[in-house]
Amino acid sequence: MAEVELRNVGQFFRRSGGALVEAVADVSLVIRSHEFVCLIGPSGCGKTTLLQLVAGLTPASQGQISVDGAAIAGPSPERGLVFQRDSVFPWMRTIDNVSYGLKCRGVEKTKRIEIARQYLRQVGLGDVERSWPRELSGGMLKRVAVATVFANSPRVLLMDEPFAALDYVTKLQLHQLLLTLWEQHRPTVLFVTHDVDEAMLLADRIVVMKEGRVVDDRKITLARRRTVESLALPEAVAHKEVLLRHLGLGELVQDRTAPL
Amino acid sequence: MARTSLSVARLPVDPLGIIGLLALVALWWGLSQFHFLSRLALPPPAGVAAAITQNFFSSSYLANYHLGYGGLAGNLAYTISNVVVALAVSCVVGVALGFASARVELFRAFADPIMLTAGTIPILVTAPFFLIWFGTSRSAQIALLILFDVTIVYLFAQRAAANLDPTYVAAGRTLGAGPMRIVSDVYLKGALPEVFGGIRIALAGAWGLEAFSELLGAPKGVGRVIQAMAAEMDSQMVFAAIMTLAAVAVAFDVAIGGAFDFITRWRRRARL
Ligand SMILES: Nc1ncnc2c1ncn2[C@@H]1O[C@H](COP(=O)(O)OP(=O)(O)O)[C@@H](O)[C@H]1O
Ligand SMILES: [Mg+2]
Repeated sequence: MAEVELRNVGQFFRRSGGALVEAVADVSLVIRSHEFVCLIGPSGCGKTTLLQLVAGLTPASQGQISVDGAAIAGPSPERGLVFQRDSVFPWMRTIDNVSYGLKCRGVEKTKRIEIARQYLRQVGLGDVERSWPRELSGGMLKRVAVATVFANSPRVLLMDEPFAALDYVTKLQLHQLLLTLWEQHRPTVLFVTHDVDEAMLLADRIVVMKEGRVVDDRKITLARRRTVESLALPEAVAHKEVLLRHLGLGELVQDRTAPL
Repeated sequence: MARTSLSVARLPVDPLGIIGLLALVALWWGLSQFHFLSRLALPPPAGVAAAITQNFFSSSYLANYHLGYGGLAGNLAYTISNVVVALAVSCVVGVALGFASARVELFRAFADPIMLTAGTIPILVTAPFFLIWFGTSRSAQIALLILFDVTIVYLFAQRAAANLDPTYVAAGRTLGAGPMRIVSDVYLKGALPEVFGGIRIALAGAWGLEAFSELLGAPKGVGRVIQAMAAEMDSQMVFAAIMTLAAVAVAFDVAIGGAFDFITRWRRRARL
């Protein structure tokens, strides 16, 4: 169980020039337990900022964030975060990276290595546990990052455009891997992306942000494991058209009169 | 994907360096052999080698000058221990202050001027003051070295911590690392390559500085040997002292360079 609730959350930043930026403005949102929510929106709309607020890395300027009714206070291993940039520690071997969260929580060495090994195998990296991160490709590093958060068994999983920098095939492989892990462990997921197709493939629900505000929130009821065929169903196409128009890509949509 | 991490065995000393060293000795031998310079200005290699072997572990000759019965080795031990103690203290102090200044703006505003001033103090000119404050004991030389070492280590540690990608710190925090672990597992490990660079630079400069500060007044040490032998016009022993100190400095650099390379073997080597 892990229901995430944001109530009137806002975040201000002061730019170097002195101007005040409202990166997140009055966001209220309830993410139900086990739900897979994709947060989509144009670059600079406040997605990363919102995710870091939920992670507890920065305290919110306004509003409250709670998990199962308890207000969050700082970061916690219960809320795992996969970063957009590489976050695998270059100075630790793969296995030590994956088991690091368990080490922080005082799990005994043989036990934590055993758990880490199991997750490394599951992400397909069983044979590089003694490698240094510099010896791994970008896709492999993302797999390590995914194994690292799952090894911590978080109840909430936050992901910030985790696969944005990967090639097409690797990205699609990692989508399937993520869905498998999610089906097994059922964390509540908040997945930030700017990729409409990625959101349609993964989400139970897609929340659209624009200039710091939530401007749309739609349930995607397409049956799971979605396929090329199911993503071409009229229901899927209708969602996609609306999302593209939110991103200012209306010229890609034939029927311009359909309501947002 | 079956990649194994293979650490290539690396020679601790570059063979080219050894060739260069041999060439230098050959040149030295040639110059002294054909009397381009007087024996006093340039003693022959064989004579210097003999002076080293005869006076290395014990030397009543050096004892005559109140330099102890331990020979060159005893004086080297004094010099080395001062350099090592000062460097160890400076590493702890310099890294702690450097990290703190990188993280806490207020502390940096306070510490930077002090450290930068310390770095610009003409150490050789101020050295006599250390003699006044600490007398001719070991403390005078160690304090002078700490002033020199700590500035360098501080600046390298500060730069390393400031340059560390904040994503690593955020990742550590979300994985459950507390402040102590963030410092030891993230800042310290991530900053180590640059801090090591600073330590090596500090150490390289410390030998000459230690020998110099011994000249101003120390119970013994290689600097004192050089001073006493120069006064006696015994250039063979002066050379012997300089050569052994140089050998120690090179050996230290090779040893800690190797150790540092091993500890930071996770670093990215240039790769296209
Ligand atoms: N630390 C910061 N200081 C100043 N402005 C920031 C900071 N972080 C984010 N911003 C601003 O907040 C807005 C939202 O940024 P971000 O959350 O990174 O957007 P997104 O992830 O959707 O691309 C942007 O205008 C950005 O310039
Ligand atoms: Mg972002």
